[in-house]
Amino acid sequence: MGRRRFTPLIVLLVCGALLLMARLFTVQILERDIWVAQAQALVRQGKVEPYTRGEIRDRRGQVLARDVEGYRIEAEYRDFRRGNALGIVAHALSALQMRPVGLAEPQAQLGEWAVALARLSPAALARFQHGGALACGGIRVPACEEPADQARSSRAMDLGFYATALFDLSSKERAALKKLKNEGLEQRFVDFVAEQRELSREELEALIRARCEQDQRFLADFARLWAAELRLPQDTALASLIAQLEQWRADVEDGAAGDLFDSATGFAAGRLDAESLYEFIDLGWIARCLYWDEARLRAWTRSARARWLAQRDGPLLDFAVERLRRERDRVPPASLVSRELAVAFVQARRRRDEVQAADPLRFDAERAMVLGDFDKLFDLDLPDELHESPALPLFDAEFCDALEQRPEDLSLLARIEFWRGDGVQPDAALLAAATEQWRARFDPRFDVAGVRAGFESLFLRLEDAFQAELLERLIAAREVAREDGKLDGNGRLPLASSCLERAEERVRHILKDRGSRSFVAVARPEYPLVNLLTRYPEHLRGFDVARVQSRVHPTRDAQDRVVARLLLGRIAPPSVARRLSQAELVRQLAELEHEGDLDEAAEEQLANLRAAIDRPDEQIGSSGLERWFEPELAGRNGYRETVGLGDDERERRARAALDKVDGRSITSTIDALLQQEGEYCLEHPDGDRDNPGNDDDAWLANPTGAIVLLSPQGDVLVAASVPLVDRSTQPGRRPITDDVRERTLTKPDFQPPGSVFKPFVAAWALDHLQLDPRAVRECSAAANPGGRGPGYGGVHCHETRNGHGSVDLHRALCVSCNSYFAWLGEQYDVRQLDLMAREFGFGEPTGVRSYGDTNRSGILEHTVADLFRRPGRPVIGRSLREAGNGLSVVEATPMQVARATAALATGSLPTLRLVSHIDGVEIPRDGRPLRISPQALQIVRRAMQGVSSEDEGSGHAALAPAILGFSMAAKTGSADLTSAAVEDGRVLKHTWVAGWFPAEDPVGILVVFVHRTTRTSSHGAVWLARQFLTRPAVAAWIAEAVSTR
Amino acid sequence: MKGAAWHPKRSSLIERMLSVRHLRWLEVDWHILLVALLLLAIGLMLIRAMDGADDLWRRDELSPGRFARHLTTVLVALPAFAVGLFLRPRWIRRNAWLVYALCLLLLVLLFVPGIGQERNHARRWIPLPIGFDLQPSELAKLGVILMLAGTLYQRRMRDIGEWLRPGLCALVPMALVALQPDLGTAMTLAPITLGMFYVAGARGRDLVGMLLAILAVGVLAFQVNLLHSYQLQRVDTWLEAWSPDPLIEGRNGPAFHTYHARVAIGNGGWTGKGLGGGVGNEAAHLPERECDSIFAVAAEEFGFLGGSGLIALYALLVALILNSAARVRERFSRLVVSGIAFYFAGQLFVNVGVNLGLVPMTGMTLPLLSTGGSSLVTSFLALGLAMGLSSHQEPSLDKDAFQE
Repeated sequence: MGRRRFTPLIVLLVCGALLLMARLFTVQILERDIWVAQAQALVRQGKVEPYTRGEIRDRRGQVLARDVEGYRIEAEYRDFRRGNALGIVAHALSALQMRPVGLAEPQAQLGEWAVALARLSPAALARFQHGGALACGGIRVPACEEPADQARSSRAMDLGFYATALFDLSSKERAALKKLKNEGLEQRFVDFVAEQRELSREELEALIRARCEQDQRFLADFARLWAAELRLPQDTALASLIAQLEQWRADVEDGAAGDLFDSATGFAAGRLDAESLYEFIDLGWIARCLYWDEARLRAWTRSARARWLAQRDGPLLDFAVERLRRERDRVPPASLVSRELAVAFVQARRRRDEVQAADPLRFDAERAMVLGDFDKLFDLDLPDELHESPALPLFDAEFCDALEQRPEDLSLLARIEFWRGDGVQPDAALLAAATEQWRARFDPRFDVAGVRAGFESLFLRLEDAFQAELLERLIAAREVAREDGKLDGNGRLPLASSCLERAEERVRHILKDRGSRSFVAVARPEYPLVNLLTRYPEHLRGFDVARVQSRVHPTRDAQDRVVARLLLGRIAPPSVARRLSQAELVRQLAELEHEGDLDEAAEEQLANLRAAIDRPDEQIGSSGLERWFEPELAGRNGYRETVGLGDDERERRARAALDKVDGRSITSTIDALLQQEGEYCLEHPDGDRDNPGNDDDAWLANPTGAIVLLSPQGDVLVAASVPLVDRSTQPGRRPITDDVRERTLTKPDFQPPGSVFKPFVAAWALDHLQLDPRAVRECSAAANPGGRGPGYGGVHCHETRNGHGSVDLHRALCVSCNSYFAWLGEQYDVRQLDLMAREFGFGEPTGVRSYGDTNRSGILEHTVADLFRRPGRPVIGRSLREAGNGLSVVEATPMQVARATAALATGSLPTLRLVSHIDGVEIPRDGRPLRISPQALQIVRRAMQGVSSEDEGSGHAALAPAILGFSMAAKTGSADLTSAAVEDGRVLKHTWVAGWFPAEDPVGILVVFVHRTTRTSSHGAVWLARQFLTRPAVAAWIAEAVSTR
Repeated sequence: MKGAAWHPKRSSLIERMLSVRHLRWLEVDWHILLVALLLLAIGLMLIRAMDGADDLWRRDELSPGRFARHLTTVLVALPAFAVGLFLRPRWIRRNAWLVYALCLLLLVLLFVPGIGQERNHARRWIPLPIGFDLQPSELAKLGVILMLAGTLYQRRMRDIGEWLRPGLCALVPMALVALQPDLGTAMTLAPITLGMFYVAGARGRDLVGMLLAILAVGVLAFQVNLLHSYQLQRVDTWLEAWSPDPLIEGRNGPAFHTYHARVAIGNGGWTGKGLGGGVGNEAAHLPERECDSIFAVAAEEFGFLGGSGLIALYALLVALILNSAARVRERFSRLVVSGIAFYFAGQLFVNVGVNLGLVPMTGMTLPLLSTGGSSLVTSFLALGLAMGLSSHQEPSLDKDAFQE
């Protein structure tokens, strides 16, 4: 052989080197942009700047709701276990003994344990790492032959960390300690540090003990304040805190275990039932990573399953149904539902987006399914039949073909419901019924509850089939493994090396990620707790004070409850629908974030997307004014982004900057003081103080009703409802009277206005039916042949003894004569009744929801549009007579009655307002004049004044000028619900008072509504009206309003 | 005394093994050592910078004291160079089989419970009482080189029959290493074997045929799933991850390591991010930064210019060793030195190839740059051998010395 033999080798070497360089050039130069962007994404840091939500004020400018920057106490378990003496020692002991050592265990001897740890040496740890024995503080870990099986390497590393964590080393000491660790010397950590600090070992150990004591003391102080915040018993405060910390620890570790399992297998551990998971699959590697014993491992399998089930029964179904609702017009129902079912069985980290984005009529079920990679889970040669059966039972090629050909065929969904897996076809009749049921869920309108129930049923059916399939495969796999001798010592299936490698590559990151997530320890802490943490952070590591925006309601009643809270509404995390509506934005954001250098437009787009997408902690209006005026109250988040993790300014550059925009404030028409009075009176009704025997004591004990106070121009000053708190004591369905709901705008049950309807009947009749106000009608038993007492045409008058005798319009209104108005009602036909009612705004929205587009929600108003209708029967005869009295075929909400009364008082029907200004800009008023002559209105007004001022007026006893201090025009009303609704031998009724004050020149329109009482208005509602109008604050307001008019 | 028989002085084992006086100091290829030391220095710089980055980001738990440990290992491994340098060729030739047998024994001992240690489901290490984990497969490469040289130096490789014994010598350790399982290391024995066959005189077409046969066996093994599933997975991943998009998409799955290596390399650009800089150190997602992925770290920190320079430096090292081999008259020594060149070349191409995505992922260090005691000891021993064998003046007295 000669030198010439080597020449080709040199040439080959050069060619090889050039090939490597060429590839290097491709990656580093030609593909540079791609990889630079990826690198930047790995170190990109962005910060969303939250906006401040707009304020809600009352008409006087008093703040009803606003955002304040406050504090929240957060706990980060990773910091606690690495920085707090208790955490350090407990976790060190866990690493030492490879079992979960509870925080309470070392508490009593914390200092001694800490000293024992400090007395370890690098050499001892190195021996331990390689399988040697280790003794620490009386615990002796014996030597072992397979250090890897006992995770000796990571345990030694952790022990090394914890052993020195209590020293609070400086960077110089840290560097020197590293050298000690590397040299593997026998010198103990405590001796080394003592030497560094020129202390004796005893002195340093005393300091360690002192540190432990101090940490314990501060933890106890924290516990006391924390327990006080959460109203927990003080004597067990520390134990409660320890228990809470253990819970957080369990959450962190459970989460990490779940992530590890998912990394390894591609699906969530909770998809299997806990027993199967534990019995079939070797989970020892998870236990080794987390230093768990078997008991803890078992506990995790159960909690993983519980968590999965909670997610399945909650968010998974919520999101699925919402996606079905959104896409129902685009995709045929059978295909839509099937695809959504399939998504639920897709591996979480793979292809879910692909399945959703793909052609809805065809998706690669095999590749995507949770069980699709089953053959790769274990290092086994599994039989072919396991590969052939579909990963998701029933979703075989035939079924998928049928879906593709007939995507609208709902019988395919029904097939899923009745599928049994034994090839037997379901009964045709049952199939047809189920198909029809599915059709009804989509047609004519999307039945959310029905679709959810149906989807849930199908999902559970598939879940059962999936579990059965999985179990079958696991059993088969175990048999194969047993034959091949590949089961572990406990007869379980070890996961494939590739699966474990994948998980073990990410262990540290998973543990760090999970441990760094914070928990809310106290949502709104008081000053002492914040002060303790900010003054002594070094002794309370793991707890932090975070600045947060929170919504506060400064205007509160005597019981510290928010005034007008039903109207104000609440804020809450975004709903499922909102989150899904942002899914496309999230996808766009993810795409942009992974791009390379963005141009200016793309950077702006990125910032806008960041700002538009809800923050994880963002709160959105979920009801009431907060929700209705969400577009105005919500601002826009700001965004700042930097690239680079370092503090070095050269390495960081700002990009994608967007300033935040705070929300706008709204001024409500509500007067907080008057509102408070209204709520107080409703919750604490006086009743008839002069004749308490006349009261409905049951109602007084548990009042249900509403008070509305308007300005004559239509501003809502008071909209109070009771009950304000849930007072149901019995389980099960709550009675309607106990519902906490807004009652001024709604009618929870049959709600006729009763006699308060009479003025409107009269006013319209004067002009349009040529009613002679002086014409007299007889109210007596004689004038009611065939009836039982005074009345007319089957309608009984409440004056049951002798009737009212001869009544004209004025007197009929004053005494509220049913006979007269029965007759008057008979003069109408249905069309005229409808015209009359709508003239005063009955059957239509009052205007409180008129601001903004029609897609807004949050304020519920019942318009009761179906007036004067009787299913299957014409409104004639008795119905007309009842209608004249505001009964049976007519219903109204208190707000509608108030609006109509305002119209009577002013001659103009106002469009009501709940909000008058947005950021100081007034929302214009609106209204229309009544098409009724002033003379007619005047006649009715005078009569209504007589209700309170004349002796025989139905409201005189409570609303007389001598009592109120001013004259009031009012009308009382009682409406029997049904002869079957009886309590104490009396028929239940709703009662009303509607009127204005002062009668001559009104400053306020008042409606009082008493829900379900046994007493008439004259014995119930009027007293409530009197109580309200004589409250000092209300009286003062009236006086002020009158004087400034 | 007159008439007394002369007995040659019996030399000790050490004297039979090692000789300083036979070394022609002026003929030692010191430039090989220089290049090797330069590579070693670069490796030390990279490791030190890594430690600094971990310190900066307070990542104590990742690998505390990495640099100090590596430095210690280097110092411990350096004497192996001297051993290699002073080993006598005659002793090596006579005892190649012994070294080979020792290596095989160590490979077999891996499977004995209590001796071999399993980590990440592979048995590759024998922990020693001195706190050092021996990786027999590294030493086995040298053992194979010596044994192959021992069987090849008397063969001309003209007919296929002459391939059998040397082939077996290579196949047995390859099989043992593959059983660990460590397919990457097993495969690097292939270019060493083929290279030495070539130097021994095998014809080019025979070698190409052999290479094709090995490739065919590999493809067959892949097709009929003879490989472990994770090994199949690695080939799948490699095939899918050639271009950026599928690699980026699969970054959180089996392609995790490949992805982060590619990101680090790609982020380097022309001139790199500087020592200790770059996302490989900053974010620390790249696994095995200090051993298998060290080239990715170097490429990111030094850029294309520096990375190419590093490849060129390695290629220079191999070329110098090959040049040394070409100058050696004695066949056995020539084969050993060539084998050592192929050893370094194989490691270079596999390690850099893996990081660049030219080759499926496998765990392989880059000699002189990466941490790893066994790799360092083997590398220094190999370098010493290469330099010593090419400059020993000990006469061979073997037939082949007179042949050409």
